[in-house]
Amino acid sequence: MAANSPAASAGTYRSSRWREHLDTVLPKLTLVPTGAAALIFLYGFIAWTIWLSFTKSTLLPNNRFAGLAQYRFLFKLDTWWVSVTNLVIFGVLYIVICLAIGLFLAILIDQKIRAENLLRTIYLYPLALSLVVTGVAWKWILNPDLGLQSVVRSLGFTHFTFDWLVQPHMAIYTIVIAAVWQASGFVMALFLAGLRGIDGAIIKAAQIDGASLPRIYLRIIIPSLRPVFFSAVILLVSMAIKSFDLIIALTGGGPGYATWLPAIFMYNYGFNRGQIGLGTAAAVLMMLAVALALLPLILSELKEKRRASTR
Amino acid sequence: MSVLTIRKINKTYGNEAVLHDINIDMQDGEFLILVGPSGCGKTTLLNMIAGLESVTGGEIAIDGRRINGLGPRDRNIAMVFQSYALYPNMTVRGNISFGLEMRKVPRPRRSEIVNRVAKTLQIEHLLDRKPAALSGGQRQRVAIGRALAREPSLFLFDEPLSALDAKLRDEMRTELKILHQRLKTSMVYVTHDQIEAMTLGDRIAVMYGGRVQQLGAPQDIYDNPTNRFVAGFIGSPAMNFIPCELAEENGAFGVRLSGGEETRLLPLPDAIADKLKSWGRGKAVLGVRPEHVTPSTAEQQTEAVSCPVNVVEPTGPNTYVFSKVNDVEIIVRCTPGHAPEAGSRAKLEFDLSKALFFDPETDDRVA
Ligand SMILES: Nc1ncnc2c1ncn2[C@@H]1O[C@H](COP(=O)(O)OP(=O)(O)OP(=O)(O)O)[C@@H](O)[C@H]1O
Ligand SMILES: [Mg+2]
Repeated sequence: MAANSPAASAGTYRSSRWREHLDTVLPKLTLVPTGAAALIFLYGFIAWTIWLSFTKSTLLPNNRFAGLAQYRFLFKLDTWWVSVTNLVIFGVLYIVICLAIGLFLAILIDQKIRAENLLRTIYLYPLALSLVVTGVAWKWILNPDLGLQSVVRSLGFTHFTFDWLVQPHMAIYTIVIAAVWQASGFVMALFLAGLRGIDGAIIKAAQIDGASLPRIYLRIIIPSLRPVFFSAVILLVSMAIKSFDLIIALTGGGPGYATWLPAIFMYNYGFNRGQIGLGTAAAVLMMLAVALALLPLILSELKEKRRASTR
Repeated sequence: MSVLTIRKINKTYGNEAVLHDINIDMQDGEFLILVGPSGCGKTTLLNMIAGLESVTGGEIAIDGRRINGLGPRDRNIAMVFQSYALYPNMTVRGNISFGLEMRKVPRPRRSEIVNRVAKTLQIEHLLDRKPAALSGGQRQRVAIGRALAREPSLFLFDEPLSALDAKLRDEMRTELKILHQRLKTSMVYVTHDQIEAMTLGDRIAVMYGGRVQQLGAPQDIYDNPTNRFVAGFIGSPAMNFIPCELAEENGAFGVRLSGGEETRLLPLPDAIADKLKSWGRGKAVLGVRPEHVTPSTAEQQTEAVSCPVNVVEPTGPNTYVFSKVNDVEIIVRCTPGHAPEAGSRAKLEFDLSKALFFDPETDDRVA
């Protein structure tokens, strides 16, 4: 090797030092644009949003401080409370039904029913569709004059009614239907991965211990899927809170404002009605909600790490 | 009375037959070992006894009762798995008492049994831990505890020690043996480790290719293997197999052995010679264990063969010498200090009264 001779090593000394330096700096350097973009467009704009929610901004942002006035006004608005109530109804139903269907499908597939690959593809397909496509498709299916209702009526059941889409009190449930259809395959995939991770010998051991199959699922398998439940819930919560495009495509927030969610509220006030201060206040509350939902995950992750490092 | 009777058991997966005509009769309190190389069907047979695998043909009876169609829970068995298979969401206590709970044993009785089992296995301090917080050895104890709790007629073990490290494996092996001597329960124990098989078993069933090759007491199998496979599988280091010619010179019937220089005819004891004569062929495979070949100390030994010493491996209690006879490598066991030097030549004495002979074509034992 040339580097071993004294003359050569003296000659390459400077250039190898420089290269070493470059080696340590270059990776950091390449991260700078991304880091700067994240800093400005993510955290910068979060900070700006929070600031705007404390100002009297209307059509255009301004810096006239208003204290908590926007929040106080927000809490008096009927549309806000409808949005929040809708979010609770939608969120709870969406999460519970997605978990139930996802788990059920995963167990069915795990029980080695036929055509597993086909079914998995079918169930996962909705996730590949954009929410807007999902929304439009269900808009047609649920439209009383075009979709399910008219089809069933044309079959001769002339009194069949399924017009939730145009019923102010029922419209939110159509959003639940479409959203569940979209996400339950994904939840199934999560559970299936969890089920596949369970040692088959555990099930055999439980059989020998005298447990029936439902018992085995209830007492052993489902409880040991706890981490999967946890991540599924966290993901679904944040997806529920952020729901926007599906509703715009499916109901447009209507009838009236019956299917508004906070995200729609924020968009409407912030951009359509020239109430930027109010819109940002709603946005800040939404962000708090997402943060609260994600907090347990972050905490448990940290705890895992700490436990792993002390081991 | 026999606790387990296996009669003409067959198993096929699709078109592939994995077990052929297995017959085993097991006495109450016996420790039966199923041993064999990977893929020979040990787990399959054990799972069939447990009811986790269907029976293609034949009959299995436990305590004289035919159990072919019964589910695992109705067979009065308990099983310990290689991967422990503890319930991850339950504490050690929950793991041990789950089977009792499923069998509707009342709660006070349950905790009584859990405490007794925990005491037997010395895991009392672990009762409230989850399996994830246990070491491999502790998990294995819990898995055994779960089996002990139910007092079944028959325990099934599927390679319970193979996931442990060597030292712990030796400890647990001894503990299992003590446990069996104390409880006197019937156990079927699967392993691919022939040392485990020799040390633990009252009887060993050596399996290969989906058949039981030989079933018998460990020493009997060691001394009198029925074929070349069993002879080579049981014993460590393995038996030496030397292809050789059989010949009669000057009225002495013997084998021709050569260490590369001159060929010697070593005379065989009469009993073996008679069998080989009546078998009547000129070529056989001589099987001789490493401990039955020794470097000769006497200077003028007529019945010793001069052989090369290729490698010398001291292991502590024994030193193994690798040599070559009739062009095949053989292992010789020596006492340390009496081993020849590598690179030299040594005169090797063969204790032919312990020699076995196999048919080169069928691998069956002929003498
Ligand atoms: N479900 C199955 N379908 C098809 N073949 C199988 C199945 N299970 C096992 N086999 C085959 O049956 C044979 C015996 O398998 P088995 O698991 O009983 O071996 P084993 O003796 O326990 O081996 P090991 O020591 O590796 O555990 C193997 O050749 C295996 O490929
Ligand atoms: Mg096996």
